[in-house]
This record gives sequence, structure tokens and C-alpha cells, in this order.
Amino acid sequence: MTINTGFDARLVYNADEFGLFFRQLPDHTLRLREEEKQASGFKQCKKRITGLVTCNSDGTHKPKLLLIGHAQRPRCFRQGVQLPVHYMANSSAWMTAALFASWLKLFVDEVKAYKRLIGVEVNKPVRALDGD
Amino acid sequence: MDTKSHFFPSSPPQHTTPQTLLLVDNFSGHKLSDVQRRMCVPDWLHIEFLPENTTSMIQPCDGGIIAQVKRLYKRDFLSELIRRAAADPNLTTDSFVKSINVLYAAEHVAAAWAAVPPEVIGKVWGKTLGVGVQAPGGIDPNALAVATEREILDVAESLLRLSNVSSAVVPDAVAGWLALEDNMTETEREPMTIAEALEEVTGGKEGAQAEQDDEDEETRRITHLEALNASILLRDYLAQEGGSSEDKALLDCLKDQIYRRRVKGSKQSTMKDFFSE
Repeated sequence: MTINTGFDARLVYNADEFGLFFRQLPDHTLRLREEEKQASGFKQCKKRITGLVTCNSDGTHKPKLLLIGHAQRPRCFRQGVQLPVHYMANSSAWMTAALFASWLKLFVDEVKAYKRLIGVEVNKPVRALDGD
Repeated sequence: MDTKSHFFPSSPPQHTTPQTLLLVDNFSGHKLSDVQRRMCVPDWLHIEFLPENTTSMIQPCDGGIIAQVKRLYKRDFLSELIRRAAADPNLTTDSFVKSINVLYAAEHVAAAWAAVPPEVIGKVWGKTLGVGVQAPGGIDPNALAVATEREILDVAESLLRLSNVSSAVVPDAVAGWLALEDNMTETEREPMTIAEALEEVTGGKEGAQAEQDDEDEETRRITHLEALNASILLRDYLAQEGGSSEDKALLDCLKDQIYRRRVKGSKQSTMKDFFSE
């Protein structure tokens, strides 16, 4: 498993998922006045979404995040809402190969735009003559 | 072997135009089928899988970038609670939590991502893989992490003051809250994969069973040729006995159908033979 050198540092990317309990409050540390009487605190919300972070190796290109939720069309995404992220959904809110493939298309477009921005050709690589 | 020489051995570049490299971990969801690969991955993009069980050590996103995004999100999440609690004294945590939807998460995670300084990302790359352009000076990732955690503690304290709770903020509890998903990821991923594997095994068995049933049926099924002959005989018989023209038309139609199926089937079988030889 080797990688050729010759990669521009600006064009070396890493993508990784993370889980986020996006509406979970810390336990024990924070309570509003009402909950003070209740000994057991409150039920924690375990609603979880997955995010995909992508960045290049010098941090100059931060492509849009991908969020994976449960609902295909959440009610809060009313018409006209401009999402600052890519949004996809499946029942588990986990990354799958199908979602990864459709994200790759979006990623490729963003990298193309970034290449134009930094003045790197988007041409296909020149193949070696021996068909390698 | 150090990670830099592992990924970037000093062989000369083969392409004259620049290529793009995407590093991802070995998670099963990243494994694309050949069709998906052909459809989604252009020539100039190379996807490389990081070696298993090493990603938290060498994957830049794991090495502090994601953690910073989460810290910023959770800091803003608590600040939002303060803002709303100040505006509405009757606010309960329950009603606050219910008001946080996926749109809020999307907007604020994106804002948190935008707030991660580029030089910090570059430094994390340098720390994990030993590559990337690292500008001297600037913000240190660890210092930024500590500063953000300090901010979160401050927000938590002011929240407690606001709600007149006498207890103090426990830094360990806040740290646990911040690392919540990290602990969950490991334990949740394991059962997921086992469950998936089980599902695959049982699903596979069912699939095999179904295939066998199909094969049994195949042997019982009459061939297209037999059906064709039978339909022709039946039509001739009807013609002799003076059947209605409607029946004849129907049988003609059936005969054509069978004929077409037979041609199709024979084509397929010869193709199969061609490949198996």
C-alpha cells in the first residue's frame, strides 16, 4: 500500500465521521430552577446525528460538512431554507456506502471548484505510454 | 515505520498533472463497489484507506479537528440555553431540548466548522501524519482546545448563576459530556457490526435457501420449447374443432410470447457458456 509523491499538500484530504448528540445537555452540572426539586434530573435526549468532516492538509479548503440524520425531509427544513451543510438521511443515521458514494460526487465538485480557485488544472492525469 | 514514509514514499510522481488524494478510514461504509467507484471517483482522485486500528493515532480529523468542532458546537449550545433562559424565566431544560431540531444542529455545526482556524488544521495534520504546510506561529491546537474548554466551563458557571443553583460546575463532568460520543462510538460500533454480520449471515442463508428453491422449480418447469410446441398443438386443435377467432388470437399471442422468451433464454445461456469457457 503505497502512495506516489507529487500530491500537492493543498490537494491531500482527509474525511472522517463523528457522532453528535446534538441536543443533549450535560448531566449533574447544570439544572434550571424547576428541576432543582427533582432528585433524578431529567431524561437525556439520545438523538444522534452523524457528521462527516473533510479538510485538506493545510486547512485552506474546508468543504461543506455532511450531516446524516434520520428523516429524509425533516419538518424543520421548510422550503426556502438554505442549509449550510449537505444533508442526507437513513434509518440509522449512520454512514453507508451508498451515502458515501453520493457524498463523493458532491466532494468532487467542491474540489474542482477549489482547484480552479487556486489555479490548478482540473485536467485528467496524463497516462503513461505503457498504459500503466 | 513512521507514518510519513508509509503514505508518502519517495518515488517519483507518475502523472504530470496534479492528483488529489483522499484519506479515509477502514470503516465498512467507505468501501465502494466497483460500479460506485466508476460512477463517483474521477481519474484525478485517489482514495486511500488508512490501516486498520490506527486511525485515531494518525487520522488528522480524529487528531483534534472533530473534537474542536464538537467543543464549539457544545459551547454555543450552552450559550443558547443561557440566552433563552434569560429571555424566558419559565424555560425548562425539557422544552429547550425539544426546541433544538436538526436545522439548528446543521446551522450550528456548520458555524463551528467554519470557526476552526486553518492553521490549526494544518498543525493537526503535521502532528498526526507529519505532512502539510505548517505556518510558523499561529494558534496551537492544544492551546485552542484548552481555551475552548475554559469557555465552556465559564458558560456552564454563568448558567448555574442564572438558575441560582448552589452547586459548582464539575470540570470532569463537563469533560465527560464533551467526550460523550467518543465513548459511545466504540461501544456502539461493535454491536452494530456484529448485528450486521448476523443479519448478513441469516440473510445469506435465506438467500441460499431461496436460490435452491428456484433451482428445484427450474427442474420441474417445462422448457420454452415444450411450451411452444404445446401452444402450437393447442392452436391447431382449436382450428380443427372450429374454435372462436378470439381464442386463436389469444393462443397466437401466447405462442409469440413463448417464442420470444425462448430466444431470449437461449441467448442468455449461450452468453453464460461463452463466459464460463
